Amino acid sequence: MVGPTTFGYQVAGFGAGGLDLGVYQFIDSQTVSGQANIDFDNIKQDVYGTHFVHYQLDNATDNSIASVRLFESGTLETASVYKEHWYEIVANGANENSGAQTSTASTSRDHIRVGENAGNASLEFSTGYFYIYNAGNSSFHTSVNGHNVCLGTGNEVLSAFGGGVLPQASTVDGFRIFASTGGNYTGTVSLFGLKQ
Amino acid sequence: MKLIKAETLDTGVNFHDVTDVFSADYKEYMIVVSGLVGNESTATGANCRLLKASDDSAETGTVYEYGLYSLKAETSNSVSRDTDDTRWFNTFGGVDDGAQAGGGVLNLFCPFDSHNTFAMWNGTNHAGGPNFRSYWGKGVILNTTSYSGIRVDLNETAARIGGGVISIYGVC
Repeated sequence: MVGPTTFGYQVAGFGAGGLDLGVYQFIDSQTVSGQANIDFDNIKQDVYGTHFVHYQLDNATDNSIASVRLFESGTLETASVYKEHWYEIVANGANENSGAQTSTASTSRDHIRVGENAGNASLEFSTGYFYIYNAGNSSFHTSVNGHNVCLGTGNEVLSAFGGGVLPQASTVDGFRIFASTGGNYTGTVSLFGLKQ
Repeated sequence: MKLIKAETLDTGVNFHDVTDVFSADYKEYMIVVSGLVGNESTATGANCRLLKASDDSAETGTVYEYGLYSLKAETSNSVSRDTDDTRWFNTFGGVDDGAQAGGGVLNLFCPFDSHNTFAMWNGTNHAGGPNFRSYWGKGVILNTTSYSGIRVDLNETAARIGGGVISIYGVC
């Protein structure tokens, strides 16, 4: 086999130095400590049709929920206009019965969930990624789709996935990660644009 | 990881083929579609088929196995699966006209080699009602056919592509 043998974004360390390895093109990274809102306000939406965001976060409050709100031409959309569905698979319980797992859905949320159960225990964190589609096209709705792993309320592994949409045509030029349930975050969030 | 090819999708057609992108150079590929919209009001899924290396024709046999979670904002989720279908569904979400653009990311493993081809994907769309969908699927083709390309394939034969961009990356 010839060609690159590693993922670009893995080598990049998700913002550790802002490496740009060709496809996942580094835009910005923030390392925060005890911060309520993690804002990205220069996402180069006019350059990239698809964005990739990686995060590794812990929270001052156990079982916090990481969520996203979007900036439309500089204004944060905080109204209950987002649609979302989020699905969780946990490592204990009736795993063979998918109906026993947890999911949440809404057509009138004031955020889109992207991460579950960031905790406050030593060594505990919540990590994952999400894609943002069509942010820069003022004629399109912007959607988010992501995957997360963390520890559940019983200290078992929890895998979650899902996404949402801001169902109104607008130019999305930024996003905010915050705890829709929980306190302040400590960790790192990195933003990449996909070369196309 | 390398960008192999990026194309603007043809409009006014039911499917778009991208040929000669899988080769012996890579085992894994990532295919990203964004800004995918329909040409008319027919809301439908955006699926995929693979193109045979032998003649660039689409694999239309009942060789596509898959399991797919469909997460729905307005109701509970659903699961679909099959062991002998003719395509992988909702790999790139779906389409509608207007502002409701879809998109998705498909990872393909060993499409070119004389080897089973595995796939995993996530896609979104906001269509119909309009209703939001978050799709999460896994699939396999259990044969040794060599595939060198991919088809973005709208589910309804009457549906037409109105726009979008596809990018194919070699991962490793």
